[in-house]
Amino acid sequence: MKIDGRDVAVDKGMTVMDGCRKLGIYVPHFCYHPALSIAGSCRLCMVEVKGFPKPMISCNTPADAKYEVFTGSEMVVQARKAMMEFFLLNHPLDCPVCDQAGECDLQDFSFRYGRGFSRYDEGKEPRAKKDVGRDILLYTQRCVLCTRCTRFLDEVSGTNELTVANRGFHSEIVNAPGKRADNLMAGNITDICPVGALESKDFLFKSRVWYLHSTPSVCTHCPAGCNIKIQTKGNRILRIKPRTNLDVNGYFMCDIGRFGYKFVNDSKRLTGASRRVGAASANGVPARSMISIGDAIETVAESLASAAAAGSVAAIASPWMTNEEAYLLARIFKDCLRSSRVAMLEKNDRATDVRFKKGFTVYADAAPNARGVEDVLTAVLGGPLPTDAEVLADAQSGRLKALLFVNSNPDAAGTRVDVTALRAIPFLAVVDLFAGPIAALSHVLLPAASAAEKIGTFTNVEGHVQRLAHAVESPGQAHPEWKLLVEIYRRLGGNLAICDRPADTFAHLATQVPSYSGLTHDALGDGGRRVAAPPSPAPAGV
Amino acid sequence: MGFDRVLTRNVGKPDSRKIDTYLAGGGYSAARKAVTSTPDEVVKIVSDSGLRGRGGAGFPTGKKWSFIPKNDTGQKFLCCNADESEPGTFKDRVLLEHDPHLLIDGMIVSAYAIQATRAFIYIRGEMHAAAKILEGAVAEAYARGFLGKKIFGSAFDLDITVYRGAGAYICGEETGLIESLEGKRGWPRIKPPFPAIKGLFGRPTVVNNVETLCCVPPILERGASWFASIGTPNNTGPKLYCVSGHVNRPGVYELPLGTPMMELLDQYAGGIWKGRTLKAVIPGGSSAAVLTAPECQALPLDFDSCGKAHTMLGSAGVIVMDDHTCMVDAALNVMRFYAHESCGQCTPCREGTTWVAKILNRDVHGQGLETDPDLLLDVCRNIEGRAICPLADGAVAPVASIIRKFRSEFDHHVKHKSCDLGKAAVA
Ligand SMILES: Cc1cc2nc3c(=O)[nH]c(=O)nc-3n(C[C@H](O)[C@H](O)[C@H](O)COP(=O)(O)O)c2cc1C
Ligand code: SF4
Ligand code: SF4
Ligand code: SF4
Ligand code: FES
Repeated sequence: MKIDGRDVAVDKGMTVMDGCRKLGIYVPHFCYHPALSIAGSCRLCMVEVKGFPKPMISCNTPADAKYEVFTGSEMVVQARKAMMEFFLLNHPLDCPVCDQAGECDLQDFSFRYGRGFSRYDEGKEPRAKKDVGRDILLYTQRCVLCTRCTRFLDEVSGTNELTVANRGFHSEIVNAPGKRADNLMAGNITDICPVGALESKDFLFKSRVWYLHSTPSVCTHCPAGCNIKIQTKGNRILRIKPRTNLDVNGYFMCDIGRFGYKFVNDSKRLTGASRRVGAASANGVPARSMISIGDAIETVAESLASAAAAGSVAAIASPWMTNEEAYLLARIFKDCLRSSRVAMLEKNDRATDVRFKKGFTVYADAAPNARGVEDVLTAVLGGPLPTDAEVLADAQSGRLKALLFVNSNPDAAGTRVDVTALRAIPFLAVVDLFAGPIAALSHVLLPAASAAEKIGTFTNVEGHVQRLAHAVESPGQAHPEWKLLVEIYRRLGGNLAICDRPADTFAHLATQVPSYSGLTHDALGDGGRRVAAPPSPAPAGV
Repeated sequence: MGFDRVLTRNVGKPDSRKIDTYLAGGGYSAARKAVTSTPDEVVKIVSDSGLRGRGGAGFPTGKKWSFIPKNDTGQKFLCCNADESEPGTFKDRVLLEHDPHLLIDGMIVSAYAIQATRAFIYIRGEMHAAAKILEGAVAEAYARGFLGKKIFGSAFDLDITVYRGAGAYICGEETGLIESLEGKRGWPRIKPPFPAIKGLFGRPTVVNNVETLCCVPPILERGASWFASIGTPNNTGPKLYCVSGHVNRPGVYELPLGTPMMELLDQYAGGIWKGRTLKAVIPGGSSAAVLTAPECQALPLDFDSCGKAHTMLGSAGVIVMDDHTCMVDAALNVMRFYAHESCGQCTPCREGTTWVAKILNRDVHGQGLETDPDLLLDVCRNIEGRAICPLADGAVAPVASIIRKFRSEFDHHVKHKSCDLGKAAVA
């Protein structure tokens, strides 16, 4: 098939639109979405096919090797302009107060195909704004009736909360009787809505989108590892959007991940190191005083070293740690403390996995990197790893002299650990985001960075290794775990070659963890790499 | 009036809707004959007869049936389109109410031809009486063993279900009908795929009009060449014409295809009423382009002749307008219908029909602008050929042709803020 003079190979089942996409030729469209069935209703994607008298919709015209297609001919431009006029007839044109402005297809197409005046003299018919879901508003009058939202809710989530009511000019999107768009994937409809009709209440009026800075990263709320964009203004996260990765999450993410960023901005985050002053009463929480990070690191390193000499040191590693951090922790234990007592923190599960119609799964496991941490610890220290229960039993029985506990749980109160065991430990060092029940009992507490504040990698449930990115600065003296661990490692006389940057740590890790062999941060790119065949059950992507 | 009625031969007989009346006239011999022939033989007879669909498009029926994949042994469906909602059209209703067994007979033959063991009659929601009559007739046919398992002792099974629509014009469009039968909104489907490949519940499906299916039994009984001898070349068989509007005797007339328009109006429909003169005719239901009185003079009412006259025979809903008719008002009347019935799925039809209706509304009410006729034609051009289903083209055809052919009336409306017929044009 020839498109705008360029050849493209025709495969079975391919449409003219597919051909255009293959060649990187953008054809304006509203109803087409690669993850949804073809609606063919917006009539904007029309192209000219030589020999056909009328423009054809590219999204539903089967490709044919004999076709000669034009995407910008006079016929096409005229048809598109006409369609734009129809779209704008009853559109409120309230861009100045519309959150979509700046990332709105209708705006972009109007800029290219619209006219500066209207031939429509008959006053616009107002359509009431609707509250259609927990986080979702429908500015009905801005809707172009592309049905992406209803097709998503029918085909992808399978929950059918929205539908079209009425006919003709009076057609509008409404809640299906008795249903609200509250499913765990509902937020995606605000992304796929090509205009400012479906809007997130969370982001409403927070910022014009052109002031946002976007950083590609990975979600930290379950091991699906959805690819995300962290969108920030200044040093604050204002919203999270899914980033397309066909090997992982497809085009979507869940609402837990979407709105889970709030802990990052939370004013109760730990901002400095502290130590315990005086003893704890039987159930009480000991008093604390702030210390410098350097002093804290020094105390931790010394305490771990002397406990190791007595053969009674251990660590509990968090599934929120990156692979690099797990590697540094493992090397501290292997190289410096000569111990392999590193347990993985018991997972902090939500009730059950939630699996949607088209396969997208939100895992019960609330942590992103159990798989990677386990891969790394096992490779360096040898398996099987002790369980956290075994380590805590050692603590309870008084066998344990020092414990380094990396918790770093975004959910301040969310732990299943029975903290009473921790009271028996002579030296407890905790790395954490919040002053939760574990942190409260620590002898030394180090403030950690969130996933949005550090560089590193997570390995998702299917073995897909992906990069995190540094989107915002940590509050106060909070530091990424890798930095804290590097300092401890350094003080204990570790191999400095692996310490400089997470990328170096990762390159070293890749020489030690067999399935990661040959990987580097650069090689992972923005899409990540699969290190092993997916375990059963089925994959998460859409 | 020498034409020997075929489709309406039982209309007017006492108890015409009873199975015994139908059987007394030799009824169901077509169905009996079909199930002892091969499906290919049945398709061939119907193809040879030249029968073209009576639902609007005039598509050759035998050819439509032949698109059903033969090597597919799975479920296939036949749907009878009894949604009859095209303004000016009221012919199927006569058949449904007066001779339901003719339709069932035709459906058995047609279902057999495409090897469909499930058939549906999708009937317009407002036709309460006809639906009751049909249900009664289907029950009678089941009771006689003409429907159900192994009909007429053959190996062929056929079940027919009467399904009542909810009164949307768009559910007469064949894929809107299919969606509605599936229990969904009557939103026409994009093509490809075509119903013959993926129709009802994703299976090969034929949708035929009531009158089309009623033509089938006589073809089997009396032969393809008999049928082909009626009418004009390529436009064969008897046809029901629905005459409405400004005539003395509006009604349904069965005549050979190709009957001249003026013969229909003058000899059968009793001429223009109140001693007035003819101004315009919409010949094929409201979706057809208008004809001026001179254009009607020598026009044979068949598919090809109407096509040549840049209109269509469509559903043969002949809407007659006398010289007291305001054509601006007529255009508004038609466009209001389409704006109301547009399903709203695709952009040009959803937005365009209402816009055109709004402009026409201001024109009728003396608030039009000089530029309106050109604006209307331009908007019509932007709708035409760019929508999902033919409703949009059907909405444009009458209005655009009225503007082109009666433009001076639009200009008069603008200039004098009233109609040249002196009709009230109050704002
Ligand atoms: C808007 C619209 C309404 C239609 N309504 C009817 C109808 O009420 N009855 C009908 O038989 N065909 C109707 N048609 C035509 C059908 O789509 C289809 O072509 C017809 O049922 C095929 O039957 P035939 O091949 O026997 O003519 C309609 C088409 C359109 C576009
Ligand atoms: S609300 Fe948005 S996604 Fe849904 S139909 Fe309207 S424009 Fe499309
Ligand atoms: S499914 Fe998991 S990884 Fe994806 S957005 Fe939700 S919590 Fe994050
Ligand atoms: S042309 Fe009109 S009736 Fe047909 S699908 Fe489009 S909006 Fe619906
Ligand atoms: S993208 Fe093809 S019709 Fe909407």
